[in-house]
Amino acid sequence: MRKYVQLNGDDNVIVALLPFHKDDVLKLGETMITILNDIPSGHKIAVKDIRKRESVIKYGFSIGQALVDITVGEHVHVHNITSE
Amino acid sequence: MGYLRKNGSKGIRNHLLVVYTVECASFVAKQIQELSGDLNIQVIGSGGCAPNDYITSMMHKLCTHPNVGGVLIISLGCENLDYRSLANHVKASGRPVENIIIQECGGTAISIKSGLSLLKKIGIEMSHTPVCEVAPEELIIGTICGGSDGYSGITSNPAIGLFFDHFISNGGTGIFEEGGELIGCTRQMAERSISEEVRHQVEAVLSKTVAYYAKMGNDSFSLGNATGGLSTIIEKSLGAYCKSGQSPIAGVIQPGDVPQASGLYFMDVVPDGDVKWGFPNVSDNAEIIELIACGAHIILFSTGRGSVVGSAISPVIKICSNTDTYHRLPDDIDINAGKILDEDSVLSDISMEIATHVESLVKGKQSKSEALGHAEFFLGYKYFNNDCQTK
Repeated sequence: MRKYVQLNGDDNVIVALLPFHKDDVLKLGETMITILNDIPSGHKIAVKDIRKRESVIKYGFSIGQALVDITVGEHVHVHNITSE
Repeated sequence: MGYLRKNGSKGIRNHLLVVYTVECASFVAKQIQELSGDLNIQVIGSGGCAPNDYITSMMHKLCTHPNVGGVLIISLGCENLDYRSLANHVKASGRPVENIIIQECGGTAISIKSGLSLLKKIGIEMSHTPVCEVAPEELIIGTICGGSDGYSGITSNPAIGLFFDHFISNGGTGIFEEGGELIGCTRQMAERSISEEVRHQVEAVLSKTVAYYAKMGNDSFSLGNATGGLSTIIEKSLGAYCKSGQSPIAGVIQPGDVPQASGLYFMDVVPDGDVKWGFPNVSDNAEIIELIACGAHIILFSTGRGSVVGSAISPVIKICSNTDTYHRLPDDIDINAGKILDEDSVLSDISMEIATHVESLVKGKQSKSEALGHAEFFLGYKYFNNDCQTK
């Protein structure tokens, strides 16, 4: 079972395919990412730092803007992003 | 093996349709099909009696679809749908056609009896249909999703998109649809439009769609979507949008418009004018039949929760987003895109699997729903201005 999927190489988020827990470590290519929150399966995890008002990219497209600075490993969802 | 029609179009099936032109004639039509015991004979029809140009045009297109070889029309006699012009239209296409008018024929029993003998007559004429080879690029393929889940946008939908990219770059014709599932994708779709004209059409359709759904009070983003991990309406829409792949959008069509050149087309299913006839997409089969009216030979149906439907006229290939559903409905699902999640499959493996299924359907192999005898049909009322046609 895969643990996550990155839908496009340009994406700054990946989609968890299993539940992740705070302090879990996942390997993305050569990079190790420490998970900062408990993240349910199907939800998004930041794999790049996303500054406030920057676009969240999934499928290679913007799906919304960050409401606050988002750090690598953080849960990305309705609490910290909003639609254009 | 394909079937060559008089206008040069090619079908991959040679169905005989029993067509009722009002609900009052549907029992007789269904009895004729049932008593014939022949799964190649399918029943379609229009239940409502109120006059409606969309239904008339859909019936004309469906009865002369390349997968249709002959038609038996069952009418009550006093309905608004003009069954004589429908019969003339079918006849002009070079297909055998017969029309039973129940009020003139003498009622239920005799109509069924004469229907059964007319089926034999039509069947004999259909057996003389010239056969031909059908190359994949001669196909029109439509795609829809139904019963989607959080994995649809990750596995089955992008796999269909990748298949579409190969299929369309090799000269095939693909159709995706339903603006209601594409709200928020206007910019992405406008950028992929092949010309300024198509770009304006795409923008107009999507803004009409937003207004229509707002009036219906239907917000397509639900709490369940957020629980599943979707954060914005655009993110949800992109999950459906990725079925269309990356090809340029060659045109915007409405139900019944058959693309006149190859490429990728966007079908607008949202009625024009006031909200009058209710939801634009009342069921998956309503959308499937609209794709078929645009000439689709095959439908690629992406599902997450699981669907069992097929369709009258054109075969449906069901592609499931996850392995659990695949194992729960093994007789109904053709392809398991969930292998992307739990095995070493990648999108291109599933896209190749779709291509293999398409090729085998063209050669006459049945999809799972065909083998089970599924031949669903749904047609409701709509209104279109017809100002957006590609002809």
